Amino acid sequence: MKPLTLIEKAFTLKQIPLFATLNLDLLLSIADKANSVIFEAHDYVFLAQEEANRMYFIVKGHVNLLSASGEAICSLKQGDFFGEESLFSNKPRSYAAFCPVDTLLLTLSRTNLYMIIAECPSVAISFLQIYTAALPYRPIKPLENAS
Amino acid sequence: MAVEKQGFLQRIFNIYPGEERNALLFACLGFLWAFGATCGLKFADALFLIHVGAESLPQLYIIVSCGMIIVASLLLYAFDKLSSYSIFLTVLSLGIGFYFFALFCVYFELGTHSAWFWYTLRTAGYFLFAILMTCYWTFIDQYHHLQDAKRLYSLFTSSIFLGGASTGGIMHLGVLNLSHLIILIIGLLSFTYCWVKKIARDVPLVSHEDVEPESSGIEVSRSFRFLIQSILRSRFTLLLMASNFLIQLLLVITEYNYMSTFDEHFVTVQDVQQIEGSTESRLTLFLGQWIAIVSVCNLLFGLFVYSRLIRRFGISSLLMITPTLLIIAFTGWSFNQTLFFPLIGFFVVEGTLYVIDDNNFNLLLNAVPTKLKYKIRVLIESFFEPVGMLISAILLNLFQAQSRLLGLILAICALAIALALRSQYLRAILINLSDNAIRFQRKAEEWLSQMPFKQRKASEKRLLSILRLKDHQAQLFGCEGLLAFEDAATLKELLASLSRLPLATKIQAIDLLEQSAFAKDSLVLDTLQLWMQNDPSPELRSAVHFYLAKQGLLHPDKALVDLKSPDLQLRGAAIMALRKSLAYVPPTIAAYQQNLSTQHLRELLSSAHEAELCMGLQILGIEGNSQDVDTLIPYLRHPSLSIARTAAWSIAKIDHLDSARQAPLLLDQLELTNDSDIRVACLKALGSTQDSSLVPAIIQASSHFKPIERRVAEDLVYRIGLRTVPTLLTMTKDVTLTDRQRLLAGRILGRLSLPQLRANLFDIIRQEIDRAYFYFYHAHTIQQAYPNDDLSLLKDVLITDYYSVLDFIIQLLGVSGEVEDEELLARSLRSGSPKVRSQGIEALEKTCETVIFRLLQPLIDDIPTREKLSAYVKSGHKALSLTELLDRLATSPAQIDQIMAATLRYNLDLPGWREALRQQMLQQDEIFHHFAYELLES
Repeated sequence: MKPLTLIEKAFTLKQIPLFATLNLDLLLSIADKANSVIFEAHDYVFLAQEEANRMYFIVKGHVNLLSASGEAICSLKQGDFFGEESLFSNKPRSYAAFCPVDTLLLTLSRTNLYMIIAECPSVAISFLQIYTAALPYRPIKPLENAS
Repeated sequence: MAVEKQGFLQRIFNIYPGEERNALLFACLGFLWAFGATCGLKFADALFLIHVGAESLPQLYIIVSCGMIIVASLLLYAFDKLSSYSIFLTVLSLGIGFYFFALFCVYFELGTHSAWFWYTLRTAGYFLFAILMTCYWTFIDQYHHLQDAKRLYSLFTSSIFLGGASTGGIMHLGVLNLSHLIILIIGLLSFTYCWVKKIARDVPLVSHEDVEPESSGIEVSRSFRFLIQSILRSRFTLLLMASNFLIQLLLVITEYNYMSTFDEHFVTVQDVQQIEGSTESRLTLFLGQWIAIVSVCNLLFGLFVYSRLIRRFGISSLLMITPTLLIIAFTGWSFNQTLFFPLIGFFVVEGTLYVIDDNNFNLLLNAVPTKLKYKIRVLIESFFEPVGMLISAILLNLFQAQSRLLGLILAICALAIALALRSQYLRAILINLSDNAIRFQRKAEEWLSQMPFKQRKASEKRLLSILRLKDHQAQLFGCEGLLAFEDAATLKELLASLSRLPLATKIQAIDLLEQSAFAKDSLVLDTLQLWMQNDPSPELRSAVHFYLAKQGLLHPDKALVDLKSPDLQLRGAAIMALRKSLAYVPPTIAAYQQNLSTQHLRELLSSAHEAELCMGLQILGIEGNSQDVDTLIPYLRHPSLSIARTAAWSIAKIDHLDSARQAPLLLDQLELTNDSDIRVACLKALGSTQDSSLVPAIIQASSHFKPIERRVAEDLVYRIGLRTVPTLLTMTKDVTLTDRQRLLAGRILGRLSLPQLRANLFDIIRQEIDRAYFYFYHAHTIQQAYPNDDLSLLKDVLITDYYSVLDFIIQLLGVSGEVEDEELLARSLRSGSPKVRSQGIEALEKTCETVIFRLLQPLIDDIPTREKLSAYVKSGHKALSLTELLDRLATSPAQIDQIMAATLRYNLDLPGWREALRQQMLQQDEIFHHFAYELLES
């Protein structure tokens, strides 16, 4: 796989729903900090319970997410992203990410993700939209002393 | 007593409370591996001389040099694939395996009669020592940041010395035979293996986001070519490598010179004084004495002096010591025949190179780009030593007679490089820090214009291919990108591609063309005409007419018919075209058309439809007449956001604003609106006045600005120029303003007149440091002082205040230190990564005055909280009671402090809270009043 140029990184980001509304100035600034990483077939991007520092965007190939016990949770394809949950929760990875084929990913560090959200609140709203679309309801902790 | 003893140990070893156990673990690790590896190396040295002979040493050196290059390449590859922990364990396992094999050979006398056995033992001993040295530092580097390194690494270096010294002790005793010795090495290496595992299990890593511990992937740019390109791009890395290479050369050349001088001296003395005993034994005795003296000095220096010197003078000053001593030695050597100058050379080779330069190297490595760090260590520690040895041997062969002159020249070069390193150090640290920063202020044009030619062409080609995709958003991205390149050579191809796109994309592309550098290019105008001819669609005609009218290029005769068109854009285009008709038609007709268009414009402006009103406001902005500002300003408060935004942008487009009459209305709007678009437009409009009397109001309005708004405000005040300096200075000093307002003033002041800011900096910062300590101290102590009250909210507010003051201090110091991105410093000190924080502290130390840094250091260093609290008490401050604290917060410029003070007084029902609140209300704004009424009425 060839390395991505700045323009290609920006174009990849543009196709991801999180960044779809950003203009070229912002996309190029973010693309400058996005690293491209290749994972060979059968490589793990990360394992469950590992410390988390980055989130990932799939440029080519696909990634399977596996639970801590090794069961398949879902398969992600080009344009999907993963690994951001632990960046927000400051907890270790709750799942493993496995590449069944050669896969090209873009990665963003926690610091950069936070900076992007501070500068472009639309990214935070996109995160919320994606999360709420995936949840039928917001899990609410039951009252401990409910009568 | 135990606590006092512990405190004493902490002070002499420069260890912070709580660090003792880990420091001991790492120091023991250094001792263990160094003891094992030097046993292997030094005994192999001696055995080689006994069994093979000194005449075979040159062959051995060639084998070691060539082998080291292969080993270093393997190590470089390994660092790409594995963690330093795994590499450390693998190397230790290989070492243990090798010595088991050697033990087997010795026990059964297999091959021990062959010279190759001793060659192998000596070569392996050297490899093991060199690789373990790299592995040890790389491994411990994961657990320490730069500020830790400054305090602790010399302790670890000393532990390595101690390992080497223990080997010397065993050699001196001569009690072990070869088998026993190999068993000892195996034992030491095995113990080291377990120790490494224990550390990995018990000690948490100091994480760094750029070093991805979980990723086993290959970064696309991790090729050898990338490594070379990255090294060439980093001037600091090049200088560091050059400096280390020169040190290697100087080490051999100095050693050669002093050894030959000592030799000559003892031969001469023996001849003259007829002393008994061989020259060799007298020389050995002499060297032995001096080695013992220097070793003791090294140990004491490493343990107690180096870390203090580095904290007192900084690394930049210590870089000069070795080159300066060598220049003195080589200069004096040429004129003076005593042993004084050769002994200086001896002192450098056996002493300062280990205790100063090796430690300096470990610290300087932190300024190398993070992704190169470990590779540079391998390159320097594994490649440079053998290659340096080889080249210095060649140089000595060529210039044997002038070896002192050669040494002097190399020492001068080393000093020059040390000076260059010193000047590049801060920059390199800041570049490393900025690796984490996203440059949002950069425009696409700037990004693209900085691309190398080849990449530029490849990107343009890629964008053209994106234009051919079927996806609408992709097509627009391609168009925007190509226009941002501002490359006239691709314009024709771009327009041809656009011509093939669907109508909806074409219409959006017209907007992009209008904002580009090619808005009035004849090729663009011809293409637009051609599109209209080929496509009769009314939407396209409307978009093109509007485009041409905005450029003043639409002929009134073509537009006249559209004055009553149901298409709003066509109507707008017609109005604009008729208002500029004087360029196309005789004056009488033009006057008539202008009247007609004014009438239609008024209709739009008085329309009840949002779109029509927006069109009218937009036309006023495009025309840019200053008398229209009065018409536009009332619309800023329109309930419809799109109308308010259009009005704001139209005002921003008009260059002439009356600063006495109209500017205050815009300033009010800055306070009232929450919309970023309106604020930015108002700021741009205010900037056009170039009126310095508006500066205080603009800065006061900046409290709640978003980053982009602050950047615009900063830029507009900066453009007003030096006239604003007195105002900015007053505002930076004014403690009644909020930290954000003062910081903005300080930042602009720093850009406009750095000497003015620097002249007043100490006074400003001194009181702010006191404030920071105050907030920090009370945030951490107030709840303990009043355990029965819930003061968690107060604690949060005090912590927020602390960070706000700290941000102010750090950014102002950054501005005064000419740091390009001062926010970067503040961000790095808030970073979750201790490595980033430590680099931020280092950058700060290099940019601000020592007195200020000393005051600030306890606050920003990663020291235990109780140490920071005691720094507050030691500096003569007293702890306030809750009532005193609330009184102070009530007079703070920060609204959150005032609200907190009022809330707590109410919650705790402190005597006279109502009266105090009424007093506060006298000086406060509307928000505070609402809040106060709620409390008073409850």
